[in-house]
Amino acid sequence: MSKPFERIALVGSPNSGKSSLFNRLTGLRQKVANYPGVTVEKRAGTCHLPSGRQVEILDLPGTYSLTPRSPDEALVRDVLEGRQGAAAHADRVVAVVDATRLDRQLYLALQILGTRRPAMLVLNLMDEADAQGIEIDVPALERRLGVPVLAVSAKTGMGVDRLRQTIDRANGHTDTNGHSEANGNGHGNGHANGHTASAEGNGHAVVADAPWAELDPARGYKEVESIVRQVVRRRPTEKAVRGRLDAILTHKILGPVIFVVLMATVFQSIYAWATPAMDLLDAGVRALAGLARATIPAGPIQSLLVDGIFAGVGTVASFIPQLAILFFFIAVMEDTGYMARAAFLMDRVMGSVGLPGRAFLPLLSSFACAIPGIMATRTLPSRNDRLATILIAPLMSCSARLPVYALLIGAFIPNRHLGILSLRGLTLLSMYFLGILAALGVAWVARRTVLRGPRTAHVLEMPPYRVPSVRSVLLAIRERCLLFLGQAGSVILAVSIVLWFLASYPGGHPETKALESRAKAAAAAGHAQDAAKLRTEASGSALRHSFAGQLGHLIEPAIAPLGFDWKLGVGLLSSIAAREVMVSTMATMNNLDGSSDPSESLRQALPRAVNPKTGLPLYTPLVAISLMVFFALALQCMSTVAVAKRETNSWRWPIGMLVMMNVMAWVASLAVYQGGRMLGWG
Amino acid sequence: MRSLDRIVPGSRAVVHDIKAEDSFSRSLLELGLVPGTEIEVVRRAPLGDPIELVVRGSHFSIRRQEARRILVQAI
Repeated sequence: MSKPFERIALVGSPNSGKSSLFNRLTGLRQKVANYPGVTVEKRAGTCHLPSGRQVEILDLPGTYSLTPRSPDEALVRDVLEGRQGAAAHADRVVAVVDATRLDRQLYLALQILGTRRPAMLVLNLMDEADAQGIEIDVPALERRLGVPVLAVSAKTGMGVDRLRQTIDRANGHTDTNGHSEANGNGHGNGHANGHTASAEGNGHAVVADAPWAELDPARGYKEVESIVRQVVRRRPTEKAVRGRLDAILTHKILGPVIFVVLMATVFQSIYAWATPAMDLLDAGVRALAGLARATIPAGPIQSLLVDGIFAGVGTVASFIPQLAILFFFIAVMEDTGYMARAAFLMDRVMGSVGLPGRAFLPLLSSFACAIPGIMATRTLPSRNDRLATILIAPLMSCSARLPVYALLIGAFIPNRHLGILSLRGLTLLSMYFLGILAALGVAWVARRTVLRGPRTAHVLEMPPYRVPSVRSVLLAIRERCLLFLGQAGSVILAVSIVLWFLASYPGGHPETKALESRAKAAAAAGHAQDAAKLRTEASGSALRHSFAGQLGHLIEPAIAPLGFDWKLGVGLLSSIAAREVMVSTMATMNNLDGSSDPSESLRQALPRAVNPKTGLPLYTPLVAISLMVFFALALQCMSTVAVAKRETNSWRWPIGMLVMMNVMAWVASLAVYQGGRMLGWG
Repeated sequence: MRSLDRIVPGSRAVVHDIKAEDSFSRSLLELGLVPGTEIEVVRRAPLGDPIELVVRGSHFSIRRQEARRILVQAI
C-alpha cells in the first residue's frame, strides 16, 4: 500500500492531553481501526498544514515509558522503532508532555528523543501551567534538548497554529522523506542490536552514548531534575482544588456514597433514560418498513426488506442511544479524572475476584446491555483484565432477558408471598444472582487458566481534576457509535437476514396455504375477526413449517432433557436476534398475534398448552425455571458476539464465550430439570 | 528503614531501594521512584488498599502488596 502523506506520531503519558491535541489537529478527519494482530486500537487522522500540504497524525496509546509492560506500550515502542512495518511507520514524532508536571513527564520525552527519530516536544496544558504560576523558559529548553519545543494548550487552541507551522516547516526544508525512509529500512536490525541509527536532522543527542530506550531511570531522572532546575520557575500560588475534592471523593464514607449515587445514575440512564430515544428510532425504522410494505408489492423482496433488513437495522439502531449515553458518562468521568478515583475506591472490592477497580463500570453497564458494557472495557489498561471482563460481561442479566423472565414468571410462578417477600420477585432476583455467581466463578477460573500470567501491577496515575472539553466528549461518543455501526452492525445485519431466511423459507406448506385461503374467504365474506384469527394461524403454520421450525425439531433431542420441546427450540433460535424476540416468536408459534403485546395472551396460553402425545401439560413451572436458568447463563445474542469479536480483534474469544456459556447453561438447566423431576416437581 | 505500606498516610519518606529486579521494579523506577526520591503517602482507600502517593508532583495509586517491595526511610 502506498503511503500518501508523511506520518507524524503523537507520543505521551496518559493524561498529558495528547488526545485533545490529536482532536485539535485532526477534528472530524479521524478514524479508528485495529493494528494488525493485536487488540490495540489505531487512531489516525489527517491534518492540514498552512502550506496546504496534508500530513497524517497517529495518536499512539498513552505510555509512561518506552519499556513496554502492556500490548499498548509495546506498540508505541514498535512504531517508534519501525517494527510495525509500513502500516504504522512514523516519519516523525511529537512528544507531548503536561507542562504542569515536567518533573515526571520529561522522562518519557527524553526516552523518545533518545530514539533519534526526527522529533519535537509539545508542552501541552500551558494554560494550566500559567494559572498555577509555572513559568517555563522555552528557548532554554529548546537549546538544551536540541529539538523544537512548542508551548501549546490543546484546550484553548493556544499555540496550535504555531505547532502546525513548525510541522510544516520541518517538512518543507529538510529532506526528511529520504532520511526517514533510510531510517525505516535499517531500523529493525539497528535497534535490536542496541545501536542507534546515526542522528541527523532534528535529533541532536542529549546524552551521547546509549539510546534512551535503555535509559537508566536513576540517570534519566537526574537529567530531568537538572533540566527542570534550569528552565522552570514557580511563582507561589495557593494550593489547587485537588486536595479538597479528593478529601470528599475518596473520603472513607462520603467517597463510596458518592460513587454509588453516580453509578446508580449511569445505570438508570442506560436502563431507562435511553428508552425514549430507542422508541423513537424504533418508530422511525417501523415507519420505513411500513413505507416499504406499502410501495413494494408483497412477495419475497418485500419480506426480505421488511422482516430481514429493517428488522436488523432496527436492532442495530436500538443500541445507539445506550452507547451514546454510556460513552458520555465514561468520557466525562475519564476527562474530569473521576474514573481514577472510582478505580481507587473499588480496587479492593473487585480485587477479590482478580479484577481491577475499573472493571466495575463495564460490568454494571452490562446489567442494562452487554454491548455498551463490553465496549466500555477499553478503560482497562491491561489486556488480561480486559479479556476477563469481556468474558463475564454477558453473564450480567441484561434488560433483554427481562421480558422473558417476566413472561415465564407471570405464567408459572404463583403470586404468593413468603413473609414480606413476593415469590415472583424472589425468582427474578435469583436469576440476577445466578448470573453474578456464574460470572464470579468464570472470572476465578479464567484467572487461573487461560488468563493466568503475571498479575498486573496496579500503579495507576490519579490525574489532576480538569473540566472536560465538550469537543472531546462529543468526539469520543461519535467515535464509539461509528465503530459499533461499522463493525458490529454489519455482523448483526447479516445474521438478521439469515434468521429471516430461516423463518420464511421454504414456505408454501399445504396447511399454511389452506389457512391463507380460508382467511381470504373470511375477509371476503366480511368476517373481519375470523379473518384476522385465520391469518394469525397461517403465520404460525408458516413458521412451524419453515427451516427454523425444522431446525427446532432437529435440536429437540438436545434440549428435551432440559424440558424444552421443539417450539421452545424455535424460540431459542429466534433469540439469537435479541433475547426478547423469544416472546413474540413463542406467540406466533402458538397461533397468537405476535405484533401487539404478546406476553399477556401468552401468559395465559403457555400453562394451558398440552403435549399431544401424553395429554399432559407441555410447560410446567419446572420447565419455566429451567428455561429461565438457561436464559440467565446462555450466550444467545449475536450482537454480543459481534462486539466481542470487534473488541478482541479475533474470533477466538467470542467463539470460546459461545461454547463456554452455552455449555454452562445447558448443564445448569439439565441439573435443574432432571433434579426437579427426581424430587417429583415435574 | 521500612516498607512503603507501613508509612502513615499524611507523612513523607525517601525511597531507598526496590526489592527484586524484574519488569515491575523497572516500571516503578521509570515512574520516578528512583532511590533518593522524596515521596508522600496521601491516603489509603476506604478499605485500606490501595494507597495514594505523590511522586515528583504526580499522584499514583499503588496496591499495598506492591508497596511492600519499596523500602523507604521515613522523614
